[in-house]
Amino acid sequence: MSAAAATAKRIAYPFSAIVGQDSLKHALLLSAVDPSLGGVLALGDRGTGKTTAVRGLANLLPPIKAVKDCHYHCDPAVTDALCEICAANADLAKQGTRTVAVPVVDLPLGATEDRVLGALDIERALVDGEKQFEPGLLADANRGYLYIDEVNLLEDHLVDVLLDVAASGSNVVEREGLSLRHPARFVLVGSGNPEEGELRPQLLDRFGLSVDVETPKDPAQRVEIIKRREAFDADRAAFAKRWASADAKNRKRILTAREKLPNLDVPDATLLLIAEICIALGTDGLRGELTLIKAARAHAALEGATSVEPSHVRAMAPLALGHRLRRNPLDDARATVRVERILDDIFAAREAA
Amino acid sequence: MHSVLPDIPRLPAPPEAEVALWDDACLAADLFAAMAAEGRVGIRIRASAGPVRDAWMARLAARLGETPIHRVPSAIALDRLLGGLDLAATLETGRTVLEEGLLAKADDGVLVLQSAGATGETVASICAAFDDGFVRIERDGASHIAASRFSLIVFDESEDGDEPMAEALTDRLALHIDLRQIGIRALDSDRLRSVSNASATAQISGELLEAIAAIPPGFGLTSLRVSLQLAAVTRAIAVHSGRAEAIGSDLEVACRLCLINRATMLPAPPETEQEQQEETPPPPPPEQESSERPDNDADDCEVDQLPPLDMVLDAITAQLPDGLLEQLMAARTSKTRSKAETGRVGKARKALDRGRPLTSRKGRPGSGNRLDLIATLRTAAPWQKLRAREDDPRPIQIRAGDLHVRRYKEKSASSVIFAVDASGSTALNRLAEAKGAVELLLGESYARRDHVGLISFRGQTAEMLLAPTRSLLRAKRALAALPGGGGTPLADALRLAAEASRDEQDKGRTPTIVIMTDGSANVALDGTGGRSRAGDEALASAHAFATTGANAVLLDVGRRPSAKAKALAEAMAAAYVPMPFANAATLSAAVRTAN
Repeated sequence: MSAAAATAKRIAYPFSAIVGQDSLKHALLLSAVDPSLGGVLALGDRGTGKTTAVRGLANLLPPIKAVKDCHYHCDPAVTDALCEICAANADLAKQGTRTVAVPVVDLPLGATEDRVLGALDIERALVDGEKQFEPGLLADANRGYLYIDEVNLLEDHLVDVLLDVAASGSNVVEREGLSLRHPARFVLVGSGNPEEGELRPQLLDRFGLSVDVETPKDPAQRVEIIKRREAFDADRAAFAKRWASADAKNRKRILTAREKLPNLDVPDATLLLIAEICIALGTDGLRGELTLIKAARAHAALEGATSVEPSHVRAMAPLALGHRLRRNPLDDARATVRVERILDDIFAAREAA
Repeated sequence: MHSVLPDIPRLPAPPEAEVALWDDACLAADLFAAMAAEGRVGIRIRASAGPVRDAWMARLAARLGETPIHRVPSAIALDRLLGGLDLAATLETGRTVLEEGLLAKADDGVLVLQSAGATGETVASICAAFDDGFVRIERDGASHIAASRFSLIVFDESEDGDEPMAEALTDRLALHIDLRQIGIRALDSDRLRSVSNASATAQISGELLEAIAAIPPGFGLTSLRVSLQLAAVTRAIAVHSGRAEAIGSDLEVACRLCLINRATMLPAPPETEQEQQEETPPPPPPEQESSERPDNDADDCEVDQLPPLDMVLDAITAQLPDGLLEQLMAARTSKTRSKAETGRVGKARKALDRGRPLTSRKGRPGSGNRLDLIATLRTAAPWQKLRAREDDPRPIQIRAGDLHVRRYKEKSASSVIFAVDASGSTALNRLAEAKGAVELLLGESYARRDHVGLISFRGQTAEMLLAPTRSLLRAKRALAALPGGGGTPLADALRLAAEASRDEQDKGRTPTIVIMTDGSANVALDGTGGRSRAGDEALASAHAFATTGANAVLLDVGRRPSAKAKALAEAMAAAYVPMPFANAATLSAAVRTAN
């Protein structure tokens, strides 16, 4: 186990040292600024550092305060999202808090349902005769990130479970004589290669932002990527140290943006523009519109702006709406290209007016 | 010319080209062993089982020494691969005891995989462990992380017409070796000089790294993993030759071992002489040079300076095997008409997944029901205190009523294969509609996860334009260019349709064949014209098709319903639907009702 623990704690490639992939990095930063955005989906070529970026993000996230000994790392300050135990605790303030790293939980493809949802702890039941709930990955991921690599290969029944939980923010367990509900609010991050299978539209819609990841073609960029990777593999600790200050800077950006977020004004004109874009694209439902508003706000906050401007909307529309377009099998253009086309039209018309 | 030959019976010398290929294969084995000792490395061996592959494996095993080699059985269950509950130990101790899976057992060892048996989840799990160096188990109520650092050998037995090896796997393997052109006579030669490792590692200059970054995209290999692998192999070659710094010729050899056998295109030729050669392959392998290939260190002093990129590319393209370009082209159209019907491992493969697991229910195991131990234990757990008796030493008391069995919802995996008559004047229009229908069907069927394929027949033969897939992206690429016109080789189309149905059935899917034609064949199986013979053969093929038992629909797209088409449908045991104005929407609707 010690070797395994050491492996698991292996130094991750620093987020700030990732060359290129600006959209993906940006989307992940936005999800840290506003976790309610609905997560990030990264689809695209193999070997482009999708997983590296997610793993690197974990080191970037500012630690959180959680109720001591709580399985779900409840936030003592947010009383409407407590687990049953914390909610029943009248003296929650006396329980004390601890500072923990934001959980970034991997959901491996081979996971079984009982480990995802949580189940009766058999060992306790058999040995001590106690009926105890053993929390699953959804509990571990509360207030943090749930990462699924190859999300398009995930078994359908697990997708159903995820959709339920992601929609409600809580996991309801009714099995083996157990009956409980616990908070499960997490940022869903998925990655995959669409050539290996398509994602179900319901799951696609659940992601706030989606990013097309492409292999960098610029030779200079490729050289830089390889040089850094070589340097990292040669001495991981030294490499991480070299990038620590850049990571710290990004962490500070996230914190500053979070502070700004609540006071950020969204002018009516901006809201109108967002509605106009969504109507022109014919996106189904309101989720796209709401996500675009949130994404534009988070983007503005990250930029240090004082109000949400059309430029912020323009930048975020492809990420927030690209995966929500009605698929037109006879139109070969990629979704983001179609979004760009319509954005060009709308903004050109505004210029003219 | 030459005088009397000595009268000693002996085998003729093996062709120099084969010996050179064998040298490369041996070098790859040596590098693999050296790199496996340092960290993780992957290799793909294209070869079917036989003496050449055995000889290669024997050489590798000798080089690996004590390192254990584990084989992944084809059709391995996920719990055997990842680890799962140890039934005996769990019952014995009353605690959940996990059994290590193959991935954990292979830690610090070498894993051998047959690409044909590897399905989506197996491949994804192996890839994840290979990347991370550990395996994360979240199964059967247990959560565990186990070290899993292994090097990977993949035997790729696929022939040109078969489903290619999973890309996710290919992408992670550094070395790509093809043993298929090597005869056994070449095996005796061992010209590799083993050089004492003067240096533990080798430096790669910035210049060389730039070349390493720039070369793979020229071969259609844009994944960054390829460049990283190329760097690692270049370094290993330098070390192998006892150098402390890699030089240009190391990179050249590395390109041969890493890139050529997985190239999807060729770098733009530097000279203009090839402009008019549309069908001819790239320059033949220079046989006279190849004898010097394996040991380049003789001319160290000359190659010390990095040759310009063009020259490196030149040198590599000059070493490309004969007919590579044609192979690449053939692979891209992915014809299923494979000559190598015999000895295909994947052919008899049964569907591994038995469908979506449902919650287990009470019941006795046996007659196909498998015990769900976890559910059984969970049911028994609350009663343990009550059931425990002093005189009974058994730690766990399980009653018949506790037993639970697993249930699976039968997976209704199905596939639809269109066979489209692309002959004559209306061909292009009809093909375009079929293409639209394929994409519509795929677009609408995420939830059902259907596979869709397309056969086009025109001129002399039928051709699988799109092997059954459920990826819209791949479908779009394959269907981008659709040729049309020419005769109507209906018999060949039905033969191919029957073959495709059987393939699908072997994969555990239920195929539906949709034939779009007006039923008038005019090209026989041997490619010659003649209506009456072509018609007879088409009917015979149709009867043969009926023996597959696959669902079929014949859409008569002639202007008026024809008796010939109807007779053909009857022979195929297919539904007959006259559809003079087929379009993408009506087509996909017809298929859905047929399904």
